[in-house]
Amino acid sequence: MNVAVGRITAIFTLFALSLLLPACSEPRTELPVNTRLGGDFSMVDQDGKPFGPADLQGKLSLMFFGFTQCPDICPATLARTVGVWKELTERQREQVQVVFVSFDPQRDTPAYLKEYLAFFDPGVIGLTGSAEQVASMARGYGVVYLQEDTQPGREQDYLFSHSDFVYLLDQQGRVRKLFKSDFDGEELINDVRSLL
Amino acid sequence: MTFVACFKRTLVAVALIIAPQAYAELVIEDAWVRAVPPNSRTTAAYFTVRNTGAEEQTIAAVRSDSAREAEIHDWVEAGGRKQMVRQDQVVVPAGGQVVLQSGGLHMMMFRLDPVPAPGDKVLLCIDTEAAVEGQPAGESATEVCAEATVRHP
Ligand SMILES: [Cu+2]
Repeated sequence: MNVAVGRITAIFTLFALSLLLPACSEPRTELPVNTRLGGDFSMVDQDGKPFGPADLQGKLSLMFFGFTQCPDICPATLARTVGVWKELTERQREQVQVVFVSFDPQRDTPAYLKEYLAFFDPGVIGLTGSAEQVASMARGYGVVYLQEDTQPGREQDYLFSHSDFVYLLDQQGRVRKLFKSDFDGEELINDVRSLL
Repeated sequence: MTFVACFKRTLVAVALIIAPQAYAELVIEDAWVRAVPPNSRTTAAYFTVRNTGAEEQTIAAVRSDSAREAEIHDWVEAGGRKQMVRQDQVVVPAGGQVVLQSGGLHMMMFRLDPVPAPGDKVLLCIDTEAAVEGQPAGESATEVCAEATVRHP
């Protein structure tokens, strides 16, 4: 009897150890902290509430900048980013937020963003602000954008040219990695999990 | 769909069948429209244009029954910024094809009216003649049209 229990214990111990082995043989490479990007900013969210760097603390953030009248890349990036977020377990999802920052405050008001973003997921945070506030935040994250000229009579159809990176921020709001807007979903989800 | 809209669409379909076929060497395939939030003003449409003829064809205008304005755009990257640039003409080589897809050439639909919902059918037209101010989709003799489904990518 005792021998059998001892044997089972030994087998179980070996099994438990074997679970630890892969972790030992493949040390996880930490994502470096990007100290050049970020900094202070002052915006409002889709409910009109102030949103600053403190609101990026405590959760991972998948953040990117765009404008809602951009119909090709922006909604695709938004849909794919929300898609990655939805692939996480429910517990992981509670620790990750998706943040969309608009550099078109004239059209993307908080109320407009709230309705727009709910189409993708009501949990998505939308940030906007005055033209100066938006410019300041964009500068901090190295985002470049420019309102392009329109044809005569088509002023309301103005578009922006812009950089299109997706930022992975850690629980301290520090930038840990930049992704191209056509990012590999697998890579992004692995990097997200590595920080949880 | 309202009765009037349905009736108009039937007229378009009939007109397409009886119209002269010179331009009809262009064929629109795999057309779809990106589903966007109901308060959107813009969306994009994607399709393949195949030229079944022996002569090169040029797309000079695009139209839709769901957008006040439509243009073909391409993405250009310069100075770290990506920009959508209007293409006044898109050449479809004889026997060849042009593919409109996300991140590349696309049909931009401005001022959606109404904003189509997922599952809706939208009329998309390409025209070998330049745009005429305010001309509705499906009423030009040199146009090729197709119904596109609105969906998530
Ligand atoms: Cu475009």
